[in-house]
Parts: sequence; structure tokens; C-alpha cells
Amino acid sequence: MPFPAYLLTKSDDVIRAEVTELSERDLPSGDVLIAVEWSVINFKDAMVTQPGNRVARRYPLIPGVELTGSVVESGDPALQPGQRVLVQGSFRCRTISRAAPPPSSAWPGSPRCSHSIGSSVTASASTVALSW
Amino acid sequence: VTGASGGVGSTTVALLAHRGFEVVASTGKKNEHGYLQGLGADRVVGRTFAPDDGRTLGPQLWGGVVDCVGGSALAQALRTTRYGGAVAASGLTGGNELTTTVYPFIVRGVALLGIDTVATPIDERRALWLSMANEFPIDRCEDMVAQEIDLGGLTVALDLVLNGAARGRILVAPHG
Repeated sequence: MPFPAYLLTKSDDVIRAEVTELSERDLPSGDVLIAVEWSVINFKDAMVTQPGNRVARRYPLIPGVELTGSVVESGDPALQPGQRVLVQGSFRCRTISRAAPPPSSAWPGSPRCSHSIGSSVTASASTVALSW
Repeated sequence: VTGASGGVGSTTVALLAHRGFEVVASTGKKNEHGYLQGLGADRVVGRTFAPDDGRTLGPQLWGGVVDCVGGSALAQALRTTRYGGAVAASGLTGGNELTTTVYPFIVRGVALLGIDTVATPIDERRALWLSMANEFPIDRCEDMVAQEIDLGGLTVALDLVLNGAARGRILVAPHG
């Protein structure tokens, strides 16, 4: 199924950004497919739009490292289709719209957090929690 | 808390204030002082909160510092943390270089803690997320979401973030 994506491509030392349409075939293979509900952007996501950054290892790239959404397909019995999850970091394809992270980085979440709030707060909160 | 108006900084201010700490927020944005006080900061200071007076070590001002900025903010934090305190470094908006001496470490026993979440083992992250989800003062959250955008708004929003002009978190709805 096609989905919209914000895609960065690099040729020579120029990085171009465009909103384009991709399909699941464009995603790296993974055990879990997630329909993204919300993502957020942080400073390092902005850095990867700039040439000479030392953050991104490869292009083309869909920037972003945090998302909330629901499981579409899963090879991991702990994550069932329809289940809502929070994901941070460690997924090769990166956000947006659809993502295929390894199951170890997904989390079913807490009923107390709505998912927009969860996306906004919980991932940055893990940085905070590790900071004290 | 340095870089206090950013996503991690805002979250830190709200959580520490909620836990009863006296929180001093550092930001270069004069128009965000009210926002930070709303999150629970007792005091808001500028980017330069410990001017270099030529001495190796500065006054002992902080029990601990959550530094989201790096560069000179991190250097200032190390010079002015109290004996036995700790500084946690998680950001680089102020630069990826750190100029310091060893004196904060060997004279004051200050610890510099490196923070990464991407490679943190998933079990540890799940425990942290759960405790944060239970503890976070959600009623203060709405102020932290600066904007909700769709993919078409990303280029402008990423520029804002790059220029340090964004507050809190920008949410992206890919189908919105």
C-alpha cells in the first residue's frame, strides 16, 4: 500500500528534501510493520537535512527516531496487529507514515498517556530519566 | 536545566519541579521565561549563567545539572556544580566541543554522565517509560506541544529547530 513520506536524498554534497509517495517495498525488511500516528522532530533530525552532518550514516533517509502508531503486521507474538505502540530509535527505515522497526524497540505503552502526548513526552522523558 | 525550552529541557523542568526540586532553567529565549515558569521553574536565567571570571572553578551553584546544550553551557555547568554533584550531557545544540579542565572532577568530585537513549537496552527503556508515564505531570503537557504539523510543514519546522527557534516539541502527523 502506498504511503506519503518525507524523504531526504543526497547527491554530491547536496541534500534534497521532498514529500513523496513510497510503498512497503521501499522499507527495509523487518518483523513488525507499524502505521504511524504521530512522530516528533528533534535537533538531530534537523541536522540530517544539512550537508556535512555527522549524524546520518546513509541516504536516502526518512528522518525521525520516535513514533507512536499501531501494529499492522507482526512476526513477534508480543506485538499483535491493532496494538498501539511507542517506538524510539533503533529502526532502520526511520519514520514517517510507515515504519518497520525490530520488535525489541517497540513498547505497548501506558493507558495513562494518550498517544500524541506519549510521542511528545515519553521518548524525551527517557533521556530525562537517564539524566538523573 | 540548560536548553530548558527544548523538548528534553521542558520535560526535565516539569518533572524535577513535580518532584519538589528547586529548578533553575537556562534559555537564550527571552520570550520563553513565562513558559518555563509555567512548567515549574523557580528561576530562569540566560545562556550565560556562570560568566568566566578567569578562575578555573566558579561558585558552587548547582546540586546537579541536566545539560541539553553541550559546548559552553556544559563547560559552565562543570565549573559551577557543587562538590559531589553530577552533570548529565545529552545534547549538542550549543556545539559538539567541550572545553574544560580536570579540576571539577578532581577537586570537587563532580561526575560527568553521558546520556544516550537509542542504544539503551529495551528492558531498561520500558521500565523508564512506564515510570515516566506514571509520574509525568500530564496537565502541564499541552504547553509543551508547540505545533502539530503534517509532512508539508516539515521543511519549515526543521529549519525552526535547526535555528533554535522552536519551543518544546513539534508533533508530526504523517497523514494529517
